[in-house]
Amino acid sequence: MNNSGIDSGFRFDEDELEVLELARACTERHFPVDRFDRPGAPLVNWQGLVDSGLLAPWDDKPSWDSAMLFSGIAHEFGAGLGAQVYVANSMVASLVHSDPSLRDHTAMAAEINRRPLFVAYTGSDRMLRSFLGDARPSMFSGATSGAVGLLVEDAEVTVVVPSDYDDDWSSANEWPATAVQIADIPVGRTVARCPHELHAVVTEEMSAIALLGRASGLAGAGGSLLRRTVGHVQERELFGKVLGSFQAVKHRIAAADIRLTAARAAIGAACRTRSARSARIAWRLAASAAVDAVSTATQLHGGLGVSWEMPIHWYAKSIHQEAWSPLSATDAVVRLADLAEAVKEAQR
Amino acid sequence: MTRADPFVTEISSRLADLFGARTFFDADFDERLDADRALAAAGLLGYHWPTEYGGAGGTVQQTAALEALLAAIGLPTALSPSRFGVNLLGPALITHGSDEQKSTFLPRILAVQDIWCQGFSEPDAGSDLAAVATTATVQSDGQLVVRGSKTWTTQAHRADMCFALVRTGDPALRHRSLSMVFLPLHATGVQIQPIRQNTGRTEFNTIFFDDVLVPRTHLLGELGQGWNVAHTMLDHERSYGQSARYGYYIRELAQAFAELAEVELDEAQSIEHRLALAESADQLFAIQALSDLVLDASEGGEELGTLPSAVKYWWSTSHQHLLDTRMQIAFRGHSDATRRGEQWLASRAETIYAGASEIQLNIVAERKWGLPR
Repeated sequence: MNNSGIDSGFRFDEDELEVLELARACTERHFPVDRFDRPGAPLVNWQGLVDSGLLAPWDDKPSWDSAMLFSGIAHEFGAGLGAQVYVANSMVASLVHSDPSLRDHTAMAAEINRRPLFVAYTGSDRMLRSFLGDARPSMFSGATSGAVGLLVEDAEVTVVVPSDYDDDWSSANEWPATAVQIADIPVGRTVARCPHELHAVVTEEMSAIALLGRASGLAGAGGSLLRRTVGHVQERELFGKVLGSFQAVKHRIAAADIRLTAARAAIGAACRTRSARSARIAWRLAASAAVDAVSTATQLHGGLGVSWEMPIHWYAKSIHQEAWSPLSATDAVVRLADLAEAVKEAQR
Repeated sequence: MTRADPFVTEISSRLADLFGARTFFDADFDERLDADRALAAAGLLGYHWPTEYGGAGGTVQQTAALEALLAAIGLPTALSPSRFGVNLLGPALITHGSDEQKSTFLPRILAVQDIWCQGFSEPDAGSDLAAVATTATVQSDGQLVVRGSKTWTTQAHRADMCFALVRTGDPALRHRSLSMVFLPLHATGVQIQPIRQNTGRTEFNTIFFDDVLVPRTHLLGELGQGWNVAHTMLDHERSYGQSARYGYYIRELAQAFAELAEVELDEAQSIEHRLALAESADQLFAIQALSDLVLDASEGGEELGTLPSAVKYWWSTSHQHLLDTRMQIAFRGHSDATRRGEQWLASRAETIYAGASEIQLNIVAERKWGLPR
């Protein structure tokens, strides 16, 4: 990994480069695309994604392209991966934005973006709570990914790299809740510090971005399930007809797709505003759409839908853990506060 | 476009000059017609039309912003008597019409001198539009003789003219033998029969055409090209998104929220309704987001694909959900339950007209996902 590129004046130091190299290696090792549904497919081409220039959710105009790309990554490579990249990069970007000493933050962000950075695991609500700042993060759930994590603690972001990452949950009948103690993680590097006076602002923005990343991952996972399901109903024949020619089947798929489309649109809109409320709305819509996609996929695969052979159960576990875990966005009080804000907006 | 955008500021000011603080949420047809004509006189109707035809040459974004501002004072395009002429026929005339047709019809449409309606659906051709059976036969003198009927025709009982899809060739050719014609509704042989709706009101009609003579100059586009003309109309309409709906519906949500405060409920009941409204608020957010997607894609000249079908399905089902909750609140004892009931009943049509939900689902399943017809 070289240190050249856009001349923003920003350079990684040697320690950081070491961490980034570790991150890249972990990423390649732990995110083969056969994780969920593509045996034998090539590894994730991070550099290709990075070189595309689309991995830049942190510029001044977070774009629909960014949101869709991350959702798309999740489509391709399994539930939540897009969210993780998105969150990791965006969190760093938020800090970069917040530091008044970094005048050319966009260029610096672009510099960071040229590299296959690191992947934060944000798949558990515990981690999100740590983002939200209501608890010291004592652990993170590295079971479904966790090649590299971003840890936010006291306004300090640290890249953490588990040295002995255990990637075997997918072979066991466990829900992805195995915790890894942060204290057990040997490598830690501070990559940025948030100025104290900006902590609240950054925390809120990071929370919104984190939630958007998760929403994006949910939408991506739902889309992946839907595509798999379409493939099945196009091949499977019943009563002498292709299953997908029955209107009941078509309508169920289309309705699930429309929910995902609406969720993706909401994610795109929330990317533009980055408000906490819009992020919560996008996440709720995505969670609901992804749960519907699981249900649709399971039902339309018939018996196969409840078999171990079909990877639907992996999605089901991942999506339901995300969508149904206690989370501030689903809290009734928060939902009512969001409603009150919408009403106020209408009256303005 | 934000409130601070200079365009929005300017248009808001012009609307304030025109209507003051007046709103039109409970306006009837005649009041809306007057408002349309006032907008026309102020140059705010047909804003998207090219300047050479009397429009303002507004962009998609500007036109959508104008529509949202109008919706905010109770004048959504969806209820405007001018909409069939200005938003559907006008753009198609500009694309497919002859010079004579443009000079004859466009100024009258833009000034709302003629009220138009849309004659697509028939008793046996609603969702299956290519099954249209009303015929137009070309006589030796070039005139067309129209025979058949159209139904579910909004505002036909108040309209002067109807643009209609008619069969001008072999029915087996389906959409390839359809043509678009202008039918004068005051002509001999035209009979209009209003249909009373579930609300008790009459907005739809059935029109019977009994050998109605139509001049050849009333044919828009070539014979057999009616399907293409119809698509121009629908594509144009679809490109404007639904941002005006968001403005209208979010106001309804705020009203429902206020109504909830007026009825006596125990805490559990109140929370139940509030959470239902919260779900609606999320759904309305997605209407706005989807609308922005459509606008961005239209502005960028991108193909919209099946997105408009998703948008139609989403806004119609979301709005019904909102009005379901509002009706439930009314049943809890709100004094205006009759009015709410009428709105609730009227909203039942939203998942039926302009392409029923089932048609939208078929479009998404078949065209986006490639599932067999």
